[in-house]
Order: sequence, then structure tokens, then C-alpha cells
Amino acid sequence: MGKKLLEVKNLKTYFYSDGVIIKSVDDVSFYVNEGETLGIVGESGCGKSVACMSLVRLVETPPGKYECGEIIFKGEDLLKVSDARIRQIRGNDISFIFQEPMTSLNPVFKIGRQISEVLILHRGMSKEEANKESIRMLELVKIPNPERVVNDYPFALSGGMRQRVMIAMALACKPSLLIADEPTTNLDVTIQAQVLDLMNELKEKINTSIIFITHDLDVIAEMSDRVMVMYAGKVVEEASINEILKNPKHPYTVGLINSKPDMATEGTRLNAIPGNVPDLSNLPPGCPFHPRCDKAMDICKKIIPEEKLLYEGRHRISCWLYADEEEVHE
Amino acid sequence: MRNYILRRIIQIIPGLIGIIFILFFILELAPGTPVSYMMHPKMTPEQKAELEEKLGLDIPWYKRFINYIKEASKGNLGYSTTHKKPVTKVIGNYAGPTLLLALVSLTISIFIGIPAGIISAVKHHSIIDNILTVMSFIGISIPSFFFGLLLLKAFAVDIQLFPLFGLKDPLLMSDNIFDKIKDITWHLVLPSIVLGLNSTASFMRYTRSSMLEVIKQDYIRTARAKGLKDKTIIYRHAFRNGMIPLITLLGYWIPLLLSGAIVTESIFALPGLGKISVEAAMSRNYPLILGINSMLAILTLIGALVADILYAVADPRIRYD
Repeated sequence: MGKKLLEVKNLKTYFYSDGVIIKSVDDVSFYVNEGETLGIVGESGCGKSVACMSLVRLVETPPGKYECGEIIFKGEDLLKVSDARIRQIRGNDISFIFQEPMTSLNPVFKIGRQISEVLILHRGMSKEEANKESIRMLELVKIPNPERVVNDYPFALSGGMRQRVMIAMALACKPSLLIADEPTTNLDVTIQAQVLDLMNELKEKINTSIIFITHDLDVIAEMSDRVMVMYAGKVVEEASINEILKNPKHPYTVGLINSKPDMATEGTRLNAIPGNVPDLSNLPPGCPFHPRCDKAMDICKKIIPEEKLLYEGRHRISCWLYADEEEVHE
Repeated sequence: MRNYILRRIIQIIPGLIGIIFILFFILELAPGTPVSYMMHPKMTPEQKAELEEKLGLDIPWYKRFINYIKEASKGNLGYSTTHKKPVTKVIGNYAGPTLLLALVSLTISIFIGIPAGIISAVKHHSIIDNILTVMSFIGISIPSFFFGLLLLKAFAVDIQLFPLFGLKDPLLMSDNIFDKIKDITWHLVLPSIVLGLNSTASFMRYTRSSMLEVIKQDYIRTARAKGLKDKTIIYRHAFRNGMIPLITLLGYWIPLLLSGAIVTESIFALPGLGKISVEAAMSRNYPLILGINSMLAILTLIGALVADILYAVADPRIRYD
């Protein structure tokens, strides 16, 4: 693996509303290597989107607040740099693809203009150059008739096509890190596969790292090198994709994998994890997962487990079940 | 698009005829006729009948309506007996101040109300938003006749900064065009503030809610993620979307402003349509009442048409064919 492109240390992003503190991202650490795809999995509301929005300070403050932590990207702490500097990084070094292709493009501007905008802003291109480059980017994301589509408005395109436009826009400045926040969740399965293939292909071409957020383990398996599982604002487990699928440690990860429908479970009820995602403003004491955990012990209800690195640091886990399994070597 | 505009312009004609029909009907329902205003107490019934015949009031109202439409299509709106002039001429003489007042107030409302609404939305729930909100509620709820008198007392009587009434200083001797413009401008300051206050406050509230809605949208998050400056995001990405509902509002605001101008003119004794329409109603001057109201109807219909056209220009999703 290459060297670290991004390292997040002890990030806490809280929201303050009406006297209630919502700990959306609570002491989260992770890193992304150059050219690597990191998958982040978790249920809705587990803080995976907020964690990624925090990377370039996209969380609105207020109500949000970056309590503490460091986000080291190419030697700079993104939580400390000026607003002007963070704007230079947004869309240029770190760019986003969002979940809702239908509403993520501005309805009153032509496609070409929306792509050109980043090129003019970050690359200092003229309008003509940016327009030519936009057509080239649309070609790259395999949109038919790119010369015509640059002059179309978003409403003329289907969801899949719009998501391709979003990808073209995000990759226009050849970012070193692309954050894809559930980019295929709202698309048809066939379109989803096309978009995922396209992303993998472009990743090789542009040599960008990707953080891929999803709640779909199948998608993660197709996209990621490494997976991080989040629950209630915390990282509960992290390992390579093969390791996670073959040897899941945390009861939550095990639950996620078991609740995945496949050929073998056809006709039987899915093994859903009992209970609901906890209220982030009112977390239970101890491990936030203990009320839903079938292996919960007394200690789980009292003390939050600390993160532990197993197998020479290749498997990160935060669970009392593995408290004794220190520094296990193969 | 061209066909659509053409069709809409043609549709104005039956709309206008319908409005004039309703006006005729309402005038017929009102007690009294022009004769009851003009007649001398000692007039005999024969003389009264003669006067009615002379004015054409002896024929039924629906026949008069048909005659009116026929003549109006030739550009003849009748004769104002009180002014001893054709109605078109009277309206022409008095429309200037009213249109000027409405236009100035509209400009004020747009250039103050909309930016204030944007600031209020961008900094919502801040001190500045709260101050602007309170001010806009005062602006919406204060009646113009009261606010006008308040301003007159403060700035024309106590401080004597602005003239008390009228459109021109009768003592102004200069023939210099700039002096004349300055004089008229000076006279229009207070009336414009009075007429503009309500619409400024309303535009601000509409802009605020429209922008608040837009700022929450996903494409604004996309714009932020692109690294654009807040100013660019607000004034380019958000405003283009936020102004779409405002355009419709603007089109329908024109008749409201004109009718508001009528009240304001009475307070400041401006020689405008307001003054003559009150006089026309008092003296049962049917042709003038019809003329003024038809003019307002035409402006309303054109305002709605312009709003619809601008709507399609601002929002590419709207296509007429």
C-alpha cells in the first residue's frame, strides 16, 4: 500500500440544538492510503456522512461544531486551515458525489456550466477551455452525445445520467480523494452496477483514493480495499474487506453480514438485528450497541470499550469480547 | 414560446371584455345615476328625462355595454362631463404621477426588500434577522394613511424637510429641466416611502422564505462541496432558484401597487389617477370610472402575462408551447 493520504485522529463533530448535544461523530480515527478505497458501512444516522462532510468542513456551524480532532491531509490539518484554503481544497483535492442525483444538480443551470464552474474556479480555465474539458469529462463518464448534453438542463437527464454528471463534476479537477456518499443508493440495480464499474475504472485512470459510504455490504465488497464499520458515531471495527467478510469480530458487524439477503437465505426470514439505531442525543451508558447485542456482558453496560488492534494492527475492534485478545499474532 | 405569447395576448381581449361587463353590472347596481349628481333640485321630471336621454342613460345597461365595447375598440372611451374632455385625455393627463409613484415604490421595494430578505435568510435566527423581521411586520401591518400622516407630521411639519403636498412647487420659477426634476423628486420622497413600505416588507418576507427553502436544497450542498465562495453560492446558485416564486408575485403586485397609489395620492394630494377616480366615483362619472378601471385591468392582465413569460425565462423546466 502507498503512503497515507489522509489521516483523521479523534474527530468529534457534535450538533447543538435546543440544549441537546447530538454526538454524530464521536472520537473517530481512520486513514486513507494513496490509491486506496476505504468503505464506511453503517445504518442511517450512524455518523458516516457527517464524518465525511467534516473532512472539508462542510457541516454547517452552527448547529454543528468540530469539538476536537485532527484531519491531516497532505501535511495540513484541515480543521485548522483558513476558510479560503479549505475552499481551494473542496472540489479540487477532495470532492464529493452525493446520494441524491435527482436534486444534487442545480436545476436552473446547464450541465456544462455546472462542470465548467469547478474548472474555472480551481484550474483558472477560460470559459471555452472549461467547456471543452466538460465535454471531455462527460465523454469519460460515458454519457452519449456529450456535445449536446453540456447544453442540457439537469431535468432532461435520468437519475443514472445525472449521477454520471456528478461523477464528471467531482473528477473534473482530478482530486486526490473522492468521497462517494451512497452514490448508487437511489439508482436501479443495473444502473448501480454500471456506475460502480465506472467509478472503479476512473479510479485507475485518475489514480484517486476513494472513501465509499454505503449501507450495502455487497457494494462495499465490490468497491473497497478496506472497510470501517460505524455505529452510533463510533468506529466499531475496521479491517480489510476479505477479513471483515470472513472473520467479522464485532457482534454488530456479524449482525450486518447475517442480515444480508443472499441465495442461501431465500424463502426464510432475514436475520435482522433486533432493536433500533439509538438516539444520538441520549446514548446508553457503556457500549452504545449493548441493548441490541446478544453477547452483551455486564461490563458492556458500564464502560465504553477501547479500540484495540489485533493481528499486528490489521484488524481494529472496539468490543469487550476481545479485551483479552491482546496483540494476537498469526 | 412565440405562439404562446401571441395566444396569451389574444386572450387578454375576452378577459378585458368580461371585466368591463362586471364593472357595468356593478355600476348599474349602485344607487343613483350621473343625473342624480348633475340635476338641479328644481328640475322637472321632463327635464330630468331629457338629461337622461342626452347622456344615453335611457337605453338599458347591457345595450350601453355593447355600445361601449364597440366605441372602446375604436379607442373612444367616452367623454368626461366633469372635465369637459374625452376620458382618454383625462387619464393621460393624470396617469403620469400615479405611474411614476408606483414605479419608484416598486424599485425601492425590489432594491431594498429583496436584498434584505436574502440577508435575513442567510443569517436566519440571528440578531439582524430578528430586527428585519420585526421591521417587516411593522411595515406590513401599519396602514398607509396613518403612516403617511406620521411622516407628514415629522418631516413636513416639524422638521419641514419635505413639502407637505402636491407634485410641484407652484412658486418654482426656474425653467431649468434639472430643477424641475429635483422638485418632483423632492415631492415624491414621502409618498414613495409610504407606498413602498408595505411592498418592501412583503417582498422581504417572501424572499426570506423562498431563499430559506432553497438554501436547504441538495444542490446548494453540491455548490459548497465544489469550493465556491458563500457569496457566489447565495447570489448565483441560490438566488436564481429563489427568485422563481418572486417573479409570479411581482406580476400580480403591479395592480396592488396602483390601487395603493390611489390611497397614498389622497394623503399627499397628488394630482394622479387616485384623485380623479375618487372624484369620478363621487360624481357618478361613469365613463371615467370605467376608463380608469379598464386601464388597471389591462395593466393587471399584462402584469400576469409578463410574469408568466419571465417565469419561463428564469426556470428552464417551464416550457410553453
